[in-house]
Amino acid sequence: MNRKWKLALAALLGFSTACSTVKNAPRRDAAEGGERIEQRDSLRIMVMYGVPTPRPERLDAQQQQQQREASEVADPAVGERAGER
Amino acid sequence: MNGRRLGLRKRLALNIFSDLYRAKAAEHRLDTLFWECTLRCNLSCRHCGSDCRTEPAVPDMPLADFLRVLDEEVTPHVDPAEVLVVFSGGEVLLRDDLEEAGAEVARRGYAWGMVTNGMALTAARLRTLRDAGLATVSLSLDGFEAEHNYVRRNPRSYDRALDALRLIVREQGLTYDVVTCVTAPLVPQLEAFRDMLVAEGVRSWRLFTIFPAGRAAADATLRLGDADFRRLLDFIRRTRKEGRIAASYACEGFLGGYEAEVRDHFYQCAAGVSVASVRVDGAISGCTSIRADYHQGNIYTDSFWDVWEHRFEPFRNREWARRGACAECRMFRYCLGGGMHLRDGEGELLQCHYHRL
Repeated sequence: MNRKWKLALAALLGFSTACSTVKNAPRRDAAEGGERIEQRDSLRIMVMYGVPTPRPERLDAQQQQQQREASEVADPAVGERAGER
Repeated sequence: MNGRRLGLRKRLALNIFSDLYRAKAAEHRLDTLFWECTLRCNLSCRHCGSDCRTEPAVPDMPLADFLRVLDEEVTPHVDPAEVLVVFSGGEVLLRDDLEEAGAEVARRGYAWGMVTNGMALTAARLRTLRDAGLATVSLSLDGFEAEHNYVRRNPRSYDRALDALRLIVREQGLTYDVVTCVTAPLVPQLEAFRDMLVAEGVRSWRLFTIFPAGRAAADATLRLGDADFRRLLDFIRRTRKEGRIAASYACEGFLGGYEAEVRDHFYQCAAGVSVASVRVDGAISGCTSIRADYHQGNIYTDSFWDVWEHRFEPFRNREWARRGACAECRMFRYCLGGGMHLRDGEGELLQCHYHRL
């Protein structure tokens, strides 16, 4: 039985969340031009001294910050313009 | 009710989950990387699994050494956006370069978080940590003042932790949870403590019980009896049904009839399957809960990625744990012998959660 069937069966039994490693909603893969829907395996088990998985919006904000920093490195004027606002 | 009893529906689901877990172990994809950046601590807690000290024998690992591992051994093999880096200790806030460490990790595209006792967390420190990309934090709070200060062995620790809690809860966009070590005196007060957390605005709460390792092994006052353990699980189940706060039992231990009712998932030990650690002395291990003398290599003598790829077999295939009380147990197919941190130096099981139910 393949993985999809197993997950479907778990859902029928009422344990879809507990069984699945696919907890987040599918996201668009920007690298594929936003067309492909990527199935994410993202249930991270929080181990004893672990921390909760950051919320996606926080990760998105971090990525945006990194992109801003990268563009500033590539074009210092971008950062200066942002600083003028 | 017999807490061990598994109905047909749950047993079927556990069979499915066991297959999925085997696939996950075979895939062996790193999703959490711990950095035990210090063993220094500003407390000397009775239950400390790390056996931390104010002046530990092992110095802090230089940040550059950890970044070298990230840059040369980890980043080439993973998508940083899919790996969470967790700073653990000791007490991480004692590192003066924590912000620098966080900023460097975030600059490489990793989300990072930390575990803290809150003693040294101020509004100003939280601000600098957030500016350095702190995305998620776990704060230890082990009950009301009497229970918390007893466990933490410091008369100011509760007040400081509560102050830290209020800062964290108010911080927009910061993912967090409160982690509570449940000792026997707290069991009769769990409802009141939960109500206090709800009143403080806490939305996520993780509860765990002592396992006999580190300093906790020598202190019987910290452990719950079996009846109190069941009472705790019943409490978590009730609290989850109420829905005012997302309570869950920690990752350790297969819980029979309580499975999928006191956690978001079925029991699994992710150590060495999707979780790795770089310990303060450079040792490479599965999870920081595991005893310090059990490791698979060292970043100062081995390639981290080579160790991750080739020396984690005991984590991924737990057949070796089918011994002693586990040898004939029908639950082994679901628990695989329990958490790795519950095994002693000879591989014997220190504690079976299922048999306590």
